[in-house]
Amino acid sequence: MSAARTAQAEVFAGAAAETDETEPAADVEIDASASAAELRPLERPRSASHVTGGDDVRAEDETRRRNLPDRLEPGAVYRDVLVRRRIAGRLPRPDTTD
Amino acid sequence: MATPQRGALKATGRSGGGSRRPQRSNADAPQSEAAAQGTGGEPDVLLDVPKLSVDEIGLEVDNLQARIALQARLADLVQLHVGADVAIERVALEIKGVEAQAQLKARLDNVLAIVQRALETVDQHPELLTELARTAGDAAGQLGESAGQLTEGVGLLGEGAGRLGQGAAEATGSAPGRRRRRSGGDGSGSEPGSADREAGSQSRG
Repeated sequence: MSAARTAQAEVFAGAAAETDETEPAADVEIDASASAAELRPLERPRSASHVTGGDDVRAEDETRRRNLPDRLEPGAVYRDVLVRRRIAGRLPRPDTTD
Repeated sequence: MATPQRGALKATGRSGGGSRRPQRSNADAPQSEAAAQGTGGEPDVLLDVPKLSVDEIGLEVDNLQARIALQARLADLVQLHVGADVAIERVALEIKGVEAQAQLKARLDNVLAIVQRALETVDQHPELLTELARTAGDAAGQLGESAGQLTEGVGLLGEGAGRLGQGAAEATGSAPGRRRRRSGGDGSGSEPGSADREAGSQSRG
């Protein structure tokens, strides 16, 4: 297993450990991650993500970065990087008590 | 040199009686396992890119969108919508030693529970159906009323067209020389239909 892959596994294991396992899983979820030995942005990335739904929908938004600033500089070289992005939406749980 | 090893793009799902565990083409994908363990519960719909490895690549992306959403409606009792959207407007990168994973997941258990709960409520309070039927009846009544107004409007339109024809006949009748020439008669204008046709021919000419 590569060093980047090992580190990635550690980050995900940490994320899993921090999650409240007693809470039901999200109804919809997009989870993506990438690691790289070296990354050089040619431009500043433009992206967006959001959860859609009514007022009663609960949104979860999680971003993890390693060796990456919040704002990437075009032309800069970043090494041993990792980024994980997860967004999820939860509908309200039905009240089971009468 | 870039030697991309593409991960399999896989979509799995289940129906009510099927297996709840989606198949994975790469069981040791760390994110897949961690994500599944961390959030509990297997997804009912899974779009899984379990492993994408590239030695070196120049990447330009324009307008990439990923969206997953759940929508459910039970008459006017329950209306559910939840979705997750990711959009990349523009990304240009050079990357070495890349490993990437992505998953889109949807779980239907909660939707099922909500719908079941609604049905139980209807079962315990059947008068809700009466209320629903009344609401539907009101809506149908409003629709019928609108249709009636539309018909009435068409009637008024026909009446207006009749007046126009009559007006045109009178206008044509007020030009005696021309009327006489056309009709070759007494100019009484006693045949509105022919006057309508005449008015039309005048506008065309």
